[in-house]
Amino acid sequence: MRKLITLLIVLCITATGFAQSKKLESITEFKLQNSGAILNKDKDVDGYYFFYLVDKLKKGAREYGIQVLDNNLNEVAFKKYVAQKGTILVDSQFNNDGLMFAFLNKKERHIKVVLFDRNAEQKETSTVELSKKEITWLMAMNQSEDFNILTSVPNKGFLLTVIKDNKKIGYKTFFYPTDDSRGWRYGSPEGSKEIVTGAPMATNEKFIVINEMSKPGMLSKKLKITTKILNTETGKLVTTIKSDPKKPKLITNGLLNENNQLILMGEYFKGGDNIMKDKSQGLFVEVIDETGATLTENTASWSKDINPILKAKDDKKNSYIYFHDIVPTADGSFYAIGEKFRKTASAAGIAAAVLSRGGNSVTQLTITDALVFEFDKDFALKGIQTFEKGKSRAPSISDFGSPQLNAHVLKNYGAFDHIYTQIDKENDRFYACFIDYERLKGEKNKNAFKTIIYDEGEFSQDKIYLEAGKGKITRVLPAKTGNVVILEYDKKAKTMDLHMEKLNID
Amino acid sequence: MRLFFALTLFLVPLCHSNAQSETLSPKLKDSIFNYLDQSIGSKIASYQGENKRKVSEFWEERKEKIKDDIENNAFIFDDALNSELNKIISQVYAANPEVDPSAFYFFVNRSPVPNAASYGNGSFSLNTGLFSLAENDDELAFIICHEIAHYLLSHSDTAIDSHIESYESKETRKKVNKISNRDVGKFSKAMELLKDINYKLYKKSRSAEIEADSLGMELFKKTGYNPASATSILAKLDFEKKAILNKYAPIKKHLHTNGYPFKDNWLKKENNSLFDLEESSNDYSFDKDSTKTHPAIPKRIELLRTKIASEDENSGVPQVIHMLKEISLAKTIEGAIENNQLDIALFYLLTTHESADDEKSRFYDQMALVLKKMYELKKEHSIGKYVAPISPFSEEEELNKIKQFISNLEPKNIRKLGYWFCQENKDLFANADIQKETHAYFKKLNPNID
Repeated sequence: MRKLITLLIVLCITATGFAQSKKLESITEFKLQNSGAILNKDKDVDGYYFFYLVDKLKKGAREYGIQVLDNNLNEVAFKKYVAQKGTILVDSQFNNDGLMFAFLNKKERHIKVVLFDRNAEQKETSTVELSKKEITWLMAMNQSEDFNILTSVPNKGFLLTVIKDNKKIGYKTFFYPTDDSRGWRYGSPEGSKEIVTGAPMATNEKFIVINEMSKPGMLSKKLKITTKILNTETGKLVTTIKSDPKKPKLITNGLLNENNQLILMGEYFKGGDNIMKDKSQGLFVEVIDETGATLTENTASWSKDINPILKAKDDKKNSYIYFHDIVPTADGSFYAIGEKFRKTASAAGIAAAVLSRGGNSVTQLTITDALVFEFDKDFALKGIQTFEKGKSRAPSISDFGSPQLNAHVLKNYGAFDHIYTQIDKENDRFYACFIDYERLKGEKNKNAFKTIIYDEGEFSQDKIYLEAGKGKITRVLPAKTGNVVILEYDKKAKTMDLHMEKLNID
Repeated sequence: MRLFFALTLFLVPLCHSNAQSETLSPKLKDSIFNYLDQSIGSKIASYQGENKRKVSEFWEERKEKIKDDIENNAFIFDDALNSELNKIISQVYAANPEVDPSAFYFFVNRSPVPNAASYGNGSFSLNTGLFSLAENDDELAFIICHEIAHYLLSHSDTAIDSHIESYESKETRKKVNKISNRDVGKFSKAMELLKDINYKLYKKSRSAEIEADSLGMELFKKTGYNPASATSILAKLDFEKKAILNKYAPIKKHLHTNGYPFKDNWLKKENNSLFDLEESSNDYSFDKDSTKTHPAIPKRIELLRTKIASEDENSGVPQVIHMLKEISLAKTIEGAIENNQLDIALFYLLTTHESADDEKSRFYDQMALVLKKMYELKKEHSIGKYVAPISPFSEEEELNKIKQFISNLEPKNIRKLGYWFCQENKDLFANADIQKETHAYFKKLNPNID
């Protein structure tokens, strides 16, 4: 969802056709550094930014320009921003009160957050100093879909999460209010003997939920998952939900509902199992109140609930399912969106392993169909829908650990075909988007942007082919819920066309 | 779309006496292209200054632009329209025998934006939006006189020279080189220079408008049209505080069917504002007042009033404006459907259709075609190429309502709406072939509806 356009774009202030003005044009060119979608906490696109280098100033300073488009692609602001050379825009979020950008400068070793209010006026700027090691970790973590440098808290403020090099690796989250409340910070204990990473998983005006993972050392397989609920106003810890060794769980999704109840979803394991090594037993959904007490907990086991239905549909052995999202709908049902995968041997992986004397992974994940599991409000499996999709392969990062954990790690680095799921609460719809490599008989294979749409209790599919013809590039970019932005680039004419299109329900 | 009236300095045409057919025939196209080659060729040949190469490049570029516009269906070529328009133009010529119109050509541009232009080579354009806005022939005649005045005063030539001199002068070159050699702060210095050049050019443009108003008024006063119309049309063109396409568009009234009742959520507005602004907050924009091509309308009106003896004269000249409005409206809708500008097509269809339940009308033909195109463009994910998104700064609420309606409709809604619209209005279509074709099209998409 982050990288929007990698094509080089320059903007010019001048627009005349006279020869001498070309020189002026080259001076007034804005060179695009990067661009991205401005997201809110539900991964809905509120707009887009384009970050340009504008001018070289004295003492190593640079003038940058931030062009902001709304979610209909209208330019709504073009702001000047002066910072030191080497500044990069690493994240942006909108919380209804304002727009926050995070700028990282590796040389200056700091991250700065800058707020623009509803009048597009630059407000507070805050700087957090970071060490070289902290920056390296932060950039690595930022590749993962589970981690965001900025998280918006609707109508309240923003959270900045960075990695801290305590005794071991830890994390720190800073709260920057956009209302009358005061800022605060929260993080892993200084001098902790464990590596602790944490990231806000769900936020609302009352609570912030942080999912913390800790282990004694880099190579250790003793992973602990702890969920912490903080008070948004004060940053004080409200409750800690520790993983019960008798019922280990891998939490993959978490959300706060209108009643401030926390819904955790993921996979559960046998008592005493290690989630780093062992296969999970099935899926779980747990509803927790604000004191940390479990209100309901439902599970669906692979062996009893899922496999009997799945096997009736598919006789492939050693197939696993990786769940990307679990979406609650208005009637109380849950829909789990997943992809089927198998662990297979990789010729390239074997060759690399031989060359590196066994240091490389010899397996790969072969990813096939998309699946949507429907659960009722008590989490009883009601049915499975299969949506055919071409095979794609992703090399395993390591051959250690359970297939599910391995898949989870790979998912965070974009190995699966699933791109994102958007939820339209107002119309009780969701859109699960995938990239599909279609193998067509008698035709050239084609890449397609495929969307599974749930609407009025039924599923339909929409498809946009990404092959535009010779010398042309077509890309589909994230947009406001239920829409996409289609980018068409003509290499020869060097023209780019961006247009917003609604995903079709027919 | 708020402030587009610009009696463009570079542009000015008249439909002349060329016989024009309903569509642009290859023969007519050749004849217009030849006219452009010749008139622009003579402009280049007659240029005596030092910037011959640059002036030639400029004119060649302009010629290609006009030809592209012709190819891209930007202009209307219609005998009936031209015949009516020529009545006004001929009146202007007849009253001003000292003006030689032999090289004049007036194009009619199918744009809802009330605007006109003088291209400098004797060709002019009038947008159909002007026909919608003008109340009478007199008002249109003043616009024509104003554009001819631009031509007679050689404003295009002066503007081209000024541009070239501003950008290519020794002084500018020196300044540009100095900026290029700077290590830091190049951009801000270049912006200062650009602003300086552009503000001066815009200032000249504003002076040229006053001159064209003044000479245009002299030409206009001889025509027998009411001189006071000069100020009344200018007042109508003051779009500083009003929107152009904002007439009430009764979507629900015209698209409700008994078989598939209109759903109010098809008109539901979406909230998408990042900022609470009335216009884009741009730190790099030029000063708005300094980049206006035209002086403020109240000032122009004030100056013109000094040249008008009486405010309420009746010209007594026979009026053709109603025919112009009617023909240009039909052509605008046709063009908008052909060019897939479905928001514009719907806007005009809905704002101009007077519902008479038992009367056959092209409204039904064109509405069915719009629904069919909307379905097709949505299915192939390309409607966003033709229907511009809603701008948060647009004050055209009725047009925005139509854009929102187009955006909100799912293909499943359009195919049902299309079917029931054709079914329930089948006896009202003016064209039986269109009725048959669109009805069959939507029937095929709805196999389960009887």
